[in-house]
Amino acid sequence: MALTDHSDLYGSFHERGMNRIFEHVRAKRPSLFNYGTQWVADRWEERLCCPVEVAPEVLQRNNPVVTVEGHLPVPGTGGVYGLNWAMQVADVRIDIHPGDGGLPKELGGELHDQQLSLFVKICAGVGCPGPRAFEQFPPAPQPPFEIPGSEDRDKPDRDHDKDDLPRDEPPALPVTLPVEELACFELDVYATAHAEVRGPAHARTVELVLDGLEIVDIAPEGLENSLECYLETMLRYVVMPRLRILLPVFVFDLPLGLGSVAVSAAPAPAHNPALEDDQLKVFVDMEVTP
Amino acid sequence: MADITVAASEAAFQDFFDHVRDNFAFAQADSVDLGPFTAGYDIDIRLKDGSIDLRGDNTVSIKELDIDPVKFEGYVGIDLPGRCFGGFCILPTPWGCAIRAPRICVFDDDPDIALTLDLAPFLRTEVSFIGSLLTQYFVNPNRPPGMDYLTAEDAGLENQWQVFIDTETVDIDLFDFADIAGDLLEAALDTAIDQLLGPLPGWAKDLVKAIFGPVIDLVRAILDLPDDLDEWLSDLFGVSLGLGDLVTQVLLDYFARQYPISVVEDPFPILGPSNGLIPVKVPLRDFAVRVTDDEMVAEANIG
Repeated sequence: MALTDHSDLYGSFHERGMNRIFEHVRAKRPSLFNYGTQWVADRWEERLCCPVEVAPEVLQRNNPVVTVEGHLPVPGTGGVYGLNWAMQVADVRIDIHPGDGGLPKELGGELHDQQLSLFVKICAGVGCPGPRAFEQFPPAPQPPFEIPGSEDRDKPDRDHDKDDLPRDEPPALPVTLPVEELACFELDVYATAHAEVRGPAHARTVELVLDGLEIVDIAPEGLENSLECYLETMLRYVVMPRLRILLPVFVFDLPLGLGSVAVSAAPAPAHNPALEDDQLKVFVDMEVTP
Repeated sequence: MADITVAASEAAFQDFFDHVRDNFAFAQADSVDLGPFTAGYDIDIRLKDGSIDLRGDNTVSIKELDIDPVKFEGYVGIDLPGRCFGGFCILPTPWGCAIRAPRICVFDDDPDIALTLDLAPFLRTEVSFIGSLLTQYFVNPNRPPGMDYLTAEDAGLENQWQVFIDTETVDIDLFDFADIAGDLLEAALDTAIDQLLGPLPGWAKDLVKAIFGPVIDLVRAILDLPDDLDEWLSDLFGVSLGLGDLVTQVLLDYFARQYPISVVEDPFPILGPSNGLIPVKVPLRDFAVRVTDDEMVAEANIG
């Protein structure tokens, strides 16, 4: 049986190759996978929660390993105080039906036909300040207590007292409370999904549809459910919509001004794209135009 | 099983072949100045008919592809040395010449003879060939040892996977250009000389031809052409203008082994450079192309 029995062109991508590509992207564009404060970025080798494999050329060309973000604000301090933090996508693995095993029982334990799973290992941590940091950086001045019945007696003086408060002064510079290291944790996240073709014939799109999501071994159950709900919402509203591919036409120009090739999804195969045999398979028809 | 597999059906290849054939156009003009001669050509070649066949022995066959010359013209301009005859004194007197023979000058223009040879009817020919696809890894010879892939990319010295058509048989039935052009030139010269001498009275034409001999011999004598006009034309068009090789070369450029039909950069870029960040490129390993009766398949692994 020929690969192109159902289409003009055929392409397949084995999960092994996809995972190798993930590894290359993580090593050569690490700032896409590692986020944290400047303190983390300054000595990322020691301060990130999980070790990072960085391609030598990244460092030779002075590319960042960590994308620097602001500190984690302490609510109620008016943005004055914040904590160091880091979050890493430490590993990404794709597994296409038939599965390699290891899928959590909450997701059915094994992949169904035309299904894939995604494993993401997240390493994260927050810089918890010690007693010395608390002494060095006291809370911002608070207004004095108001003693009941003293309003009228002290009114002239209170106006004077108010002038002692840091009123109308520019806010103090934000302070990221110093730490020695981050308090780290790891999360193993599994998601299962399948591909669907949606939309009208002239504007069909291939979309990844999330089937389930599971964060392994978090307690209590309510916290796990809440985190999973948050992640799933983010995936459905942010990640999945960006993974849609418009099917009708991709156009490639031919060399020497010989025209162009327009490719579109072939209608014949039962599943296109197909997720089977550890591969993503794509069946495409072609039309050559001047 | 390879990490990446791409296949194209024979029907897709036939569509692609038809499109390339129908949109193929090669037009070129050139000329050379050889003293008393100017010679040149003006050609516009298209392709038609033919078919492509993928074969189970890992080869591709193209059959009976016609070369269709929309224009295939050669031209020759000849500047003959001016000649004057007559004007001699028939009746001299002590006071001078009383009667002179008429003085006739010919070949005053430049060029005196301009000939256009329409060779298109003689270039109806077919090309057939069988070739196998060959994949080779090209290490850029200008890349110094130890140069990393990013520096090589900056310098335009990337390594490549290249796919060639390794030609097994080529059948290009090219015409004998010099022979055809020689016949055409002799006939055209004969006519041109008569036209050139057209204003002269008949007796004067006869006189010129009588003096200078047959027309072709006339041109040969005046211009010191060799006796073997075919060989001379072959040299003129084949060596001086390279026209004889041109058609063959154009076809071989498309079908011969020294020009890859496909080039894949290695390592292969999957994310371009962005805001000072290096591109993300992945090494391709074991790149290979094969042909079956039904399709052409390219496979590669990610290194």
